[in-house]
Amino acid sequence: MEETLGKRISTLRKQKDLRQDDIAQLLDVSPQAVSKWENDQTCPDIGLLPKLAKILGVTTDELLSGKQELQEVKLVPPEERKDIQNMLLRIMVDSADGDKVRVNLPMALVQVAMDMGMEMPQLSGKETLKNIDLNQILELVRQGAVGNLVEVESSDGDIVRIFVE
Amino acid sequence: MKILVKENGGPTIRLIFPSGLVLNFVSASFLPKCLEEQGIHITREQARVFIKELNRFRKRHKDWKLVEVRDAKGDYVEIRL
Repeated sequence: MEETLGKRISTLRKQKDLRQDDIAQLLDVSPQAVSKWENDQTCPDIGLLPKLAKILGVTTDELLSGKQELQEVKLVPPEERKDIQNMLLRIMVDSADGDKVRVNLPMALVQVAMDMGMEMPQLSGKETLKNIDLNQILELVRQGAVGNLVEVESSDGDIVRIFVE
Repeated sequence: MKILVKENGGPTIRLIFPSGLVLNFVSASFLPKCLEEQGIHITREQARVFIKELNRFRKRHKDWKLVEVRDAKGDYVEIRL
């Protein structure tokens, strides 16, 4: 499915729970302009892109290309940490056959799943991750670690990554 | 809930229906039995918490993409809540 710049802006805006009016106000443009961007009728001015990307919580490259850069593991100071209930655990599987699977799970749901005794292969569907301890991942996140926390390459050539944001 | 199925070179199927139809306490009561077949044992109360948490996140993060699968042949499936 082709994802255009307009669709990306729209999706990211909704994820941030912002209205078109909010974006318009922050960028000092009209709400109609934002609507036109999202409907791919026009494109944002190049000078607005860095600020728009910052508002949407991505880099300018990510906004334009749609490819999310996997940031390295980062330790976020306590005052800048997001509430764990609003964080996402992204499981990315790139199989050797060329299949790509992306699962985005809220951390709160992962916590509940863990309390139920679920293990990583049941969440991700990949046996490659059977030795990954979810408790340890949660503990890392509680201590402020975000980014690409796990990367595993199986003998079959499958690559599985666990990313927290 | 939006389910998009795109077959490479074929038709695109879009299914849109209220998430509440799937994520409710009635479906939560079926969840323990379904998970039992996968070797996961949960109680009804845990299933209720699970569904409640899914709904809470869905309401806070609109258009949340739960799963995205693209196979080597170019077929694509996406589920948004």
